[in-house]
Amino acid sequence: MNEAATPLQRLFRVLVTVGPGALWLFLFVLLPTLLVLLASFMSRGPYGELQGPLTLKNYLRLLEPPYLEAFAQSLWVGSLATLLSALLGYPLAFYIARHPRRDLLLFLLLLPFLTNFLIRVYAWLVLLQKEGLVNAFLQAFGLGPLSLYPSFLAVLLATVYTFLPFFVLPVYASVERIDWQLLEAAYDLGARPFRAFLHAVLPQTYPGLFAGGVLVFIPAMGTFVVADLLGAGRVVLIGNLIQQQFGVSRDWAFGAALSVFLMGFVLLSLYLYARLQGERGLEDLV
Amino acid sequence: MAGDVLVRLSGVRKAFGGVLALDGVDLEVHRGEFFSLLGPSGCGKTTLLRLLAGFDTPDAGRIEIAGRDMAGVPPYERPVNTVFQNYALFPHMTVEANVAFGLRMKGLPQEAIREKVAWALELVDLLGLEKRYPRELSGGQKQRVALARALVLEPQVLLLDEPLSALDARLRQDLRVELMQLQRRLGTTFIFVTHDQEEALVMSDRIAVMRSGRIEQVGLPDEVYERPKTRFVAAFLGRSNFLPARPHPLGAETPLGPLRLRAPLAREALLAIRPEKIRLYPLGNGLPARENLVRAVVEEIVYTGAENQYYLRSGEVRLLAYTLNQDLQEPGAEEFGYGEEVLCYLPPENLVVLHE
Repeated sequence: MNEAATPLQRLFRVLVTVGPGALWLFLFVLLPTLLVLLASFMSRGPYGELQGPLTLKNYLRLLEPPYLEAFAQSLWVGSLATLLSALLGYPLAFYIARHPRRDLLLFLLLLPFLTNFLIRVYAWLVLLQKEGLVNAFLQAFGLGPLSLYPSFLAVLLATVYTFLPFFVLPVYASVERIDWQLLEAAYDLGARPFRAFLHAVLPQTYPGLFAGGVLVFIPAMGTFVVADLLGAGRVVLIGNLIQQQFGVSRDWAFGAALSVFLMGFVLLSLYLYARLQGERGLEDLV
Repeated sequence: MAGDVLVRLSGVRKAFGGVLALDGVDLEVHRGEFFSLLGPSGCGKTTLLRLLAGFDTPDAGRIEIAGRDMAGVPPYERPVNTVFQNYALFPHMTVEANVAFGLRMKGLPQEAIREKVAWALELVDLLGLEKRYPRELSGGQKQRVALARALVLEPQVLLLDEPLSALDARLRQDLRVELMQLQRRLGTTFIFVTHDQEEALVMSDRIAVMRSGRIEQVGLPDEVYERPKTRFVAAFLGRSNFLPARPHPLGAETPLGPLRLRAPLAREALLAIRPEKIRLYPLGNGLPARENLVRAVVEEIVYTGAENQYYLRSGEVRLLAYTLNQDLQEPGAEEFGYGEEVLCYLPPENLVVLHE
């Protein structure tokens, strides 16, 4: 940097370089979050508007059984969806990364995104209903018809379907960078294939696994469309609650409290993970 | 040492996608030997090492280690360990854990593992760095960890894939000596892959010079250097002057005139002579010999410190000759000057007949 720069010039440089990004983050990340935080301490007016004074009652309401239950169910769906995505997505990422036509496979993986999310969820509804394709197939083998819709299973299935690519992509990125010589080194040192994989390959994909897990778990907990359409009221997730507060219930203050709670939970989990993993965990997060 | 064959390869072939990497290799390595596979990149030396380690399988031929056929034996069951070119240390494990890895895979008890790891780390002079991660180590230290990790398993054969090539020149020289001492101390058989002829000459008990998937010559370092069998070996190890030759009553008829050899030539062949074997004399100071004398003109002089390299021309033939810088010279006062005519003596015992 030029040493002769006056303080004014330096300020100008900082504004020009960091300014636009900072402004963006302030306007679209920090400000809305602060507004939500503020709203969560207010209460619902007679016409559904926000009004003072500041209170903690929205947060106390979170502890009531129906809300705790929804939260527990969200955790359950999020965890199961993440686990299933890992079981399906981890091998898939390896398969794609090591395939000669991986460009084509990646394209196919992302192809569903060219169709609207709602339409894809409706497609599951059509497939899973009593007269749907899945039941027709099952009946051909003398099974069913099963009442697959509406059900928890349907919600889980569609959630995994929706978020699987978000798991596969970061793992794929990890797999592409794997140093396969470490696998040979492990073999060379006497490790049989499973243990060689466990010690030499798996750790190299931890960053991808973690990123994929976060990218599935967080939206799977917060999504409400899938639970609405395929659960038809039987599955109520925290996302559904939030949507209800901002929609039919017109209780923005409580909706905001639910959102803050969800955000807080996610941030706390990430923080704990990072602490658990020490320095390396923090690197993975970035 | 002699007679006790530890590694035996016969008729080993390997192709990758139609490209022949090894074209019928026969080789015997003795127990306790420091054996080098020397050759330019792409000659198949690394492929050979990978076949021994079990990472690849030969298309044809037989590999025996310690009297056992290695066909179908996976790498994790072979009595060999490898030191990889770029170390291949596990980045998420400490030095200690890296060295302990093989012992853990063997299922040794904790106490035994701790003892052996300490022994191996002391062997390579790394005590005190147990808790470091590979990313916190220098290149030389990583190399030592890789060595310790392999040696701690006490393999019958240690395979080393250009282990020094990633290090800077100074460190490489030090590690050369250390590797030699280590090998002598442990008595482990080393099979050492390198493209560095000096490394091979300095370190090895025996050298196999490889060229496009074949073994060109196997022998003691001085044997391979002094008595190269082919033009390739003569040119790859050090430098050589080559002279086409035909039979002649004296020995051989060459572009430099008739030359005496150790034994007369039976048919056309190529002669080789090392630059340092050619002796240079000033003209008209009494002949140093009666035969194998050639007049030549100095075209270029390269001063390298320890020696002077003279680029000479005799008629149409170019010759390279080295003279040792034994006496302290006045600056600019080489033994011979540019354009000066000198007398080259090509001793008959140093003229090597190449087969090919």
